[in-house]
Amino acid sequence: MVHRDVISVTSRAQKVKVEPGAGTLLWILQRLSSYGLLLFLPIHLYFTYFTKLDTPALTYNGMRETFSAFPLWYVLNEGLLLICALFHGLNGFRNVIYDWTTNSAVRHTVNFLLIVLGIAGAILGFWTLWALA
Amino acid sequence: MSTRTILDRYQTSASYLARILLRFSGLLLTVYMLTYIWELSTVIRTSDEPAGTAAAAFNTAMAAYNTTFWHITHAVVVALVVLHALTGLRVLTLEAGFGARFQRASFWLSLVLTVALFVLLFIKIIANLAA
Repeated sequence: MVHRDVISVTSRAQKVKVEPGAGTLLWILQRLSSYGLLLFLPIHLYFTYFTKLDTPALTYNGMRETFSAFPLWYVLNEGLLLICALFHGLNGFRNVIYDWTTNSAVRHTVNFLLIVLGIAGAILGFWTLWALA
Repeated sequence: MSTRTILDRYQTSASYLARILLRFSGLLLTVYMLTYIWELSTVIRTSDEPAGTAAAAFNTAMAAYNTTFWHITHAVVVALVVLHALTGLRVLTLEAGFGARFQRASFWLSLVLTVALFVLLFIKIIANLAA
């Protein structure tokens, strides 16, 4: 444990026990991925949901039209959306677990499972994007 | 423990409810996202068509979701996205030091906007059904 001055959550600076390197990078990445989601997810939902509300079902050709109408840009949008959504979702789940328990065995197991899930999701996601785009 | 008791334990019940809803919607959306990736990749993987031309498999899979149940489920998912985004934006602005005075109002506004969007989508689904 390292003692650091923490001033952001209290009115007066005080010494608070902080685990070394405890999640500062992940916290920043969670914020950065949220900015990404605010940009990429509305575009994804616009083309896959809101403009397709009147069509009976999403079709392969209907979906391909978006990829050909915005070559490279839409693939880039979907790829970056996949990275941001996977990281934001899985790291958010990690945050819930870390708030729920301080048991390091549980935390390490969850970390391992989430990394595996993230890599598997990225492989399947990018492979699907490559096959569809 | 009843909802009333949980809320009574916190002076700022709106901020507590906001936190719970942010996490709950986040968990549901994460499960949905992973299922979505798995389902879409399975459609492509199990298709007999060559890679990049899985049109028939894709259309068959998507047609299965053309039911009122799935239309409403998708409307719920979109509403959860909006709720998570608005309550998340609220957290971002609060962390940056803005809007603490309006934190209750901004939470209720997020909730009202989410419900309003869901009601609009629900009306649209029912109208499409009737047409």
